[in-house]
Amino acid sequence: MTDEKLLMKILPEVEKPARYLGGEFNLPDMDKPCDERVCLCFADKYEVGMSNIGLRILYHMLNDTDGVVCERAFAPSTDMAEKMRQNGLRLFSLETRREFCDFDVVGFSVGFELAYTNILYMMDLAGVPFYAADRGEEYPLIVAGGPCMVNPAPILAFFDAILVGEGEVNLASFVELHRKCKAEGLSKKEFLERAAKLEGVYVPSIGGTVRRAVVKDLDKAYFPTKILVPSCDIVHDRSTLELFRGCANGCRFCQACFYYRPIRERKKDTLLRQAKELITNTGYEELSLSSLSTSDYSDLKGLVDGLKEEAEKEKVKLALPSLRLDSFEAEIYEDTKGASLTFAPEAGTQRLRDVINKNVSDENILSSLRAALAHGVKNVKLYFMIGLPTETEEDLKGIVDIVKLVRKLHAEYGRSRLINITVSTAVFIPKPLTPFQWEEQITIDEMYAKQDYLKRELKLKNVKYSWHDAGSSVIEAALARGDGRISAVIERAYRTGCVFDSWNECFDYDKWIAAFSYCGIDPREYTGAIPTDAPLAWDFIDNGVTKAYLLKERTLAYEGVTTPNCIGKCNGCGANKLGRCFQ
Amino acid sequence: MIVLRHRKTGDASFLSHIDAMRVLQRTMRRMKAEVRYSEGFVPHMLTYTTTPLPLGVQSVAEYFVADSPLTDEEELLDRFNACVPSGMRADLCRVTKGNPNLAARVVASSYEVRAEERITDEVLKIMSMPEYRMRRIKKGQEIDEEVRSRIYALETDGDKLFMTLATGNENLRVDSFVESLSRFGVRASANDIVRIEQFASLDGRFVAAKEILQ
Repeated sequence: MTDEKLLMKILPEVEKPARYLGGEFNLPDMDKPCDERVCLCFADKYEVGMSNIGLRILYHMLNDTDGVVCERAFAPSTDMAEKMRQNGLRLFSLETRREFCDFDVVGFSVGFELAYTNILYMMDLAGVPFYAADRGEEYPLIVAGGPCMVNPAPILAFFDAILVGEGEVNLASFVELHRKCKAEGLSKKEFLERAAKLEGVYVPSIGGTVRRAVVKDLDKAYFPTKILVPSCDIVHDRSTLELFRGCANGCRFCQACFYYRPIRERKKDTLLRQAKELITNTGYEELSLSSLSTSDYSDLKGLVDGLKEEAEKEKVKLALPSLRLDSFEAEIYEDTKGASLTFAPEAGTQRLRDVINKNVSDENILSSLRAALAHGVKNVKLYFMIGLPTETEEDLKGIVDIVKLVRKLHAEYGRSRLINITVSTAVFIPKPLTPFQWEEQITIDEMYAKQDYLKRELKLKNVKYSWHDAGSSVIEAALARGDGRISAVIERAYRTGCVFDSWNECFDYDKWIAAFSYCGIDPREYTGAIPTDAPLAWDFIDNGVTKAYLLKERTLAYEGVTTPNCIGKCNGCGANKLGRCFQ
Repeated sequence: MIVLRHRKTGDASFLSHIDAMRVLQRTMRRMKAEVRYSEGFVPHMLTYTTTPLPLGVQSVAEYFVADSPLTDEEELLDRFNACVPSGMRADLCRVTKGNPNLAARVVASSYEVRAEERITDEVLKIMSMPEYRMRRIKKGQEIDEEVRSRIYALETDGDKLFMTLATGNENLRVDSFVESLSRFGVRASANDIVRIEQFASLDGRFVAAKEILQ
């Protein structure tokens, strides 16, 4: 247990000490009788980790299980880490200030490749060896889950087990099995042999294949409404409703779309009840709707009407993110009193949008913009990607054309003020489990050249252009499609000072390149094109969507043929073998 | 108006003033207590406090005022305590006619400091000094200040030090002051300091803030 007195002494000297203390409202009972202790970790700062809805669900789910207590640990900021090291403090849980070794299971939720070094950073601060093979019985089981398990190959060596799929299923059964095995006095090895047979659990020391675990009936799935309300400011400081999982649109670059399939909705009445409970239990001023494509919810109008009524009564602001361009409903928009509009056409021309299967036409863009401008929108945010497969100069010019079109339309409405336009471009990163998983990523020099072109062309009054860092896009791509050789690179990068790589100000491209070269690996091996018949590092995982489907989509992409969304008619991606779409 | 005297102890002592305000406002929402909102473009809850504590300093006498028409003191206190994080529970609730304007009226606070070892009476010499200078960081720059007139009382008892210092417009930052006492061998961190009460000036004497709530 951490020396409380010492901790209280160093906290006034660090930035935002509230991050390290827990003590939030709605904290579950930590003193209940328990025979299994779990620590859920998120390899980023408290503010980021506490905004993660998955972590929130699993934390409360475990704490609502009899005999199980679940605590949390986040990556301390570097100033705190320094103080901890100086004072001989190890990483501790927020709730009862226990160290890793006081837990039965330590689970990392990994949602972003650039968090990999932070996993080692937390293990280092916790005083546990990085490699599972070096951790004996005295150490807890350290496992990983989350979206990055779509290809866990680069981090397999660090974990005793990998939980592939949805934690409501595999984390719950993993913890339950461990309780039993602990009571039987089984060793770690004996337990892992049994755990490997669980749905969605992969044990690297045993190998084999694994099928992703999914919640069959999302409407009946556990969802907490008595949630922690952080006392200090976090990134997404609001209540969140999860409308559905999966996405029917099938944009060919998007991992989340395919990863979260099958598509499962919560019923409107369930959501309205959850909203009511969340508002009462949290006191939050804002309620947001979460899903990959909110406007595809089957009864969005009914849901929003119901929520609006409740929100008005309770003085709660309703936030509606992620509205797709093609189903943008001015009516809904108008009622939310927003003064800004966010669009993600992703590509500048119709041709390229067809390639990536972003089913948005020039006409959609035009009519949505018209509707928005008619309602007096003053700020427009536009999101694009550069470096998409088959991209040409014409497509980049298309981005500039769309920006100019917005200005022109705005002028047509006779507004005196110039409209504010924010343009952001991300760099295309080929990700596993997408039709573009075999594609090459453009080189860093090409990224700079394309960004420079846009910087030049978008030097317009009231237009702000921001772009995603090229170096981190390269490393993210290399890690995303990495294999077992990458573990050593991650370790080397961490040892040479790479932490908080997802924070622009901390990311150090040169250090990463040096780590690759130290391990004798050229990152281009992982960012370049992969032959479609070559084995993939993530072939041992059955994620639902089949390779054959992804290949077919890839062919269609090169033909510029779109695939309609699968709401009306199943496209046969294969995910429904895990669970039925649209119950 | 509802006035609540609440503590800010343990983990809660590390909440910044703005974070603590948000926690309290959300508490009012969880209580479903009716509180008036400003009438501007972005309406905000009308609540008031006194001079913020430095980060890490604890307190058993923070005052939180909410513009509310509710009147049942006992019920409000119970509901508040059921809806607030444990480190910020209240021990007193008063309903007043108008805004007691505590921010302007509080002029002093008493504090208890528990030092790492026994405190010698050396520190009491401050009271007979004509001036007392200390250094502190203000807006990122170290400044040297004369603060003797803002030190109202000092007392020792074993490893404890009791002090009454200026609060409000002429505020004396308690953590910086305690840090300056290391020259007398007093070693304590911010978290070893507890604000015991806040005082208003009434007819030339200090009265506890709770006494002026009508």
